[in-house]
Amino acid sequence: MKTKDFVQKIQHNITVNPERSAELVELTTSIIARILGDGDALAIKGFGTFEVKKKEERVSVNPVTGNRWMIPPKLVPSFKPGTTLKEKIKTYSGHEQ
Amino acid sequence: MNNKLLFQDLTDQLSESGKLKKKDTEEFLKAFFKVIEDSLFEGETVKIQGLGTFKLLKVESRKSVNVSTGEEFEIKEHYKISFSPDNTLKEIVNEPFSYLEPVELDGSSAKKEPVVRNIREEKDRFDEMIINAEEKEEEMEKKPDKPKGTPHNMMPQNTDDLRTPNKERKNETQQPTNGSQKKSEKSGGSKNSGSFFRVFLILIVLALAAWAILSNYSAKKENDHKLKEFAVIDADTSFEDTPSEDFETVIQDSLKLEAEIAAKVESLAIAEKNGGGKNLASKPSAIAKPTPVAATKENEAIKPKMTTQGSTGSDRVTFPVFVKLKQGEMLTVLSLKYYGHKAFWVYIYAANMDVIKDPDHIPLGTRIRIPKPDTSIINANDPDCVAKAKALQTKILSRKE
Repeated sequence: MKTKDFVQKIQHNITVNPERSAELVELTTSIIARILGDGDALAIKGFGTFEVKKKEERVSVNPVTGNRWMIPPKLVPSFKPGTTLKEKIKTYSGHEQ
Repeated sequence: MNNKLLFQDLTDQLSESGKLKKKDTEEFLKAFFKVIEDSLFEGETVKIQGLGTFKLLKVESRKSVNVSTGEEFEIKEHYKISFSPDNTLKEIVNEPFSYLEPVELDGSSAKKEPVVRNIREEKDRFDEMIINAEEKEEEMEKKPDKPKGTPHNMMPQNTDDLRTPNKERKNETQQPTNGSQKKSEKSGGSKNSGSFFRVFLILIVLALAAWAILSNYSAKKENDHKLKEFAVIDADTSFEDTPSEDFETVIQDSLKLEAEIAAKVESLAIAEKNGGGKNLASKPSAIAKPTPVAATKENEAIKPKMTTQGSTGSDRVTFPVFVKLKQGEMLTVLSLKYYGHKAFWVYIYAANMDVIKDPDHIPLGTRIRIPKPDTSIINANDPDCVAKAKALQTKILSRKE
């Protein structure tokens, strides 16, 4: 499902300003990006937490050439489902397509 | 930084930037997350531009063991949520580290290489400068000494000696005799007053140099000895087929080069003084301007260390020490005991590579030789030395992986 379909689905779910949904989705993602970019975490109750994790530097070896590379540390965004979502997933048993 | 924002904060920000009522924003955001959730449970992957992709992944059933009872049980197949961030989001988040790039480490390690290369370059430049200065000097010598016909007896020897640090001592002992040789040359030699003046200048400089060298002689002798010893240790523990050969050579190289540079800077000083008297060395010294600063700095840095070693280094312990490894002793412990800092274990390891296969697991009773420390690289009070040792340490440890 792409963003377009996502926006359409939201439009079905809200009563106010459905026509602004696309714009608002864009705004929301940019706000989330800004929050994570500041190094903050965003916890949505019932859904989960978006946070930034630091991956430490490491040495990786190219298996073909045997060259060793120092991979620098980096910050990656991550998502951790909250308890309610986890519970729901636990009872979920696949979806017939 | 590191704050935990809540749904409320997100609503506030969105209502502000979207110019929307709080209530409406809340409704929108609730729908936003609900749609993600619902779509997931409908078996869809949700891809939102600027954020990322949510997906439900199936985890196959597997067997596991209850840690406390040892009972086997089966973990049933289940689903887990996966989120892979969008590239734009990744870039925004990784902004603080974005300037870092992967570095290739191989061959001669990236950390070590630049240092060695610098020293090597400096050395090359010194070679050039010294040769220049010597050529000029040789020309000078030839003129006044022509009647005597012994223009070469001094300079070639000097260059020879200066090339190798191990002969430095020999060179020092020879210089006084050279001086006296010159004296006799002078007395029988030139009648030209100009060249007489030049020779006189050279003599004064040489006499000063000889005096300075002689007064330093005893301390120097010891230091040379130490340098040599360390080089010998490196050389006689031959590890041709061990993978650590490059590490060995790195140590050796930097040692030799440092010593060589120290020797050369000294000789250069003499050569320049000589040349300066004749207004001829102006060219090489002008060329050399940037390097001597760095080099003399280095020389100065080495010299004080040497002198401190002369006074404090010859303490209770006589090196090389042989130690049989006891329970609870590690290379770091030995290093701390004999060298004053645990980071220098790498040098002990380097000297004992033939008996130590794995520095983390050395069998008890292994006979370990602890070579005499060379204070220019093993000095617990010098953060540079410690840093160097640590760089070596990371190199050794990463090679093990």
